[in-house]
Amino acid sequence: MKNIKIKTLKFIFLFSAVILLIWLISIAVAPYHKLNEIQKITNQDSSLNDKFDNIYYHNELESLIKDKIYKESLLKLSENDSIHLAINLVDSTVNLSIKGIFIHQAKIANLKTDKFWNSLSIKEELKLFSRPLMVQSIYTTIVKEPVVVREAPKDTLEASLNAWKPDTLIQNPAYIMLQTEYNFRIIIEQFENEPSFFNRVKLKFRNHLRFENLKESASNFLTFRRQEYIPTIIIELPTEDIRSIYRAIPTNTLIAIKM
Amino acid sequence: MKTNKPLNLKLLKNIHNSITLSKYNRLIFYTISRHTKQYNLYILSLVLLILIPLSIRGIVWMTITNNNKTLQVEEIQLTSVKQMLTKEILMLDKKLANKKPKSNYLVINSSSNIFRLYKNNELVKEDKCSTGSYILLKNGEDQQWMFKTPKGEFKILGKTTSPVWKKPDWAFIEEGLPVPSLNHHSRYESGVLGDYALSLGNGYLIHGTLYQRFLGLPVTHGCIRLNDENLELVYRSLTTGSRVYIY
Repeated sequence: MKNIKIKTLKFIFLFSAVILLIWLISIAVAPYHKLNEIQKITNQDSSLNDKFDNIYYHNELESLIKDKIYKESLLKLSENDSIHLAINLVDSTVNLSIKGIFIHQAKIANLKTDKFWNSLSIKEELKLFSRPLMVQSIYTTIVKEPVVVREAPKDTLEASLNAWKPDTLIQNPAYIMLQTEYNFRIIIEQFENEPSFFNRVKLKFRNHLRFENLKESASNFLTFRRQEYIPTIIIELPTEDIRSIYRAIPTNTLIAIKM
Repeated sequence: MKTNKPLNLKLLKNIHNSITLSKYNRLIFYTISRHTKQYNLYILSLVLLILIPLSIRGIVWMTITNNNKTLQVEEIQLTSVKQMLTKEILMLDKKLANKKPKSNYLVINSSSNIFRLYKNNELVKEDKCSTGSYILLKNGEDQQWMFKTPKGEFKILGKTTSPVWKKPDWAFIEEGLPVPSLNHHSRYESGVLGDYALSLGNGYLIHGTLYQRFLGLPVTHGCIRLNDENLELVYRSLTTGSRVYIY
């Protein structure tokens, strides 16, 4: 009886280990599938195939082509009426753009990019970044509009007692996650991190993203779907710039990126 | 000569105890070693569980990051492509430059409460201003006003000197006063908007303020307040039709 119990436990352990191993392997190969998916999309674009010359793969042309891609994207961005983002990773700036004019520029303090971006060929970059990317979801620790609700005073006495107080100056630590088309992720984090409260907010923000990834991954695994790899860019900016940027952009903002 | 020592009972008891103990020890040792073998197997499985996916991920990175093509081409061909690309970039630069306003323009950051004035696309002045407070004033269930500065591209629709403020309903409600009729004399107040006002439409103005200490803070009802000196500079620099970008 005891032997049977031990054997059952062993079987459960081994079975769980194998399942876990398969899950982890499927996560491990996800970047490969992601690249394949992008290559497939690129190769299916007949107009790109027509205008693309194999000489563009030459190393000496790389910076010129990247410059062209970014400017084409900026031009398309300028056709839109709203305020949008232009991220230039070469000169380390994040810009707010409206109708082709940069109205705000923030200098990137720190930058962390995924290894995945290095695996993209110039042809794939042409496909992905020669037009702005649409933001599909945003997660943030700051409010878009710091609205303060006030009831109208009944008389002048009550009005004088309710003298204005700068409630809108109470500021939370600023962290933003922008998820774009093709499932790319841009994380903007504040550069200043002094008090422990700021670190707690940062941890909470990152744990939320980790939990969401885990949930998505488990769901994909259980429904026998391919694991999704999310190429990420992490940008550190001064807090005030993050706040200005987030409050300026619309929900479905567009982003032009120079890699 | 051999002498017979009396039996040491205490020693015998100790020996007996040690033999009995060692029996137990052996038993314990056997149990531990048996389990250790099993535990080792479990630990090994867990290590493999981590190492195998990590190695696979490593191999994946190595494979995909080394797939960039490199080409050997003739110098002449390369130069001509470079020239073509440079020409295309110049054309794009020209198109982008055409998007910039030809006249002077104003940029307002409503989050930091800062304005920037540009002349010929060069920054000439950057200073504090005040923008909307984001207060939502509620007067019962039916009436409410949101005091925020709108965002986007605007044009100067009109310019006035010594503007007179025609107080809207919310200005009375906010002060706990009864709302007078539409053209009642108490609605008109002069001197509170400064020496100049520039209209952005829908009642939004760029004007001066009596409350200079609040500059740099979000305190207005949606208008943009500047100090006297900056207001004069902006008034003289912008013409009707000049662009104002608010974000």
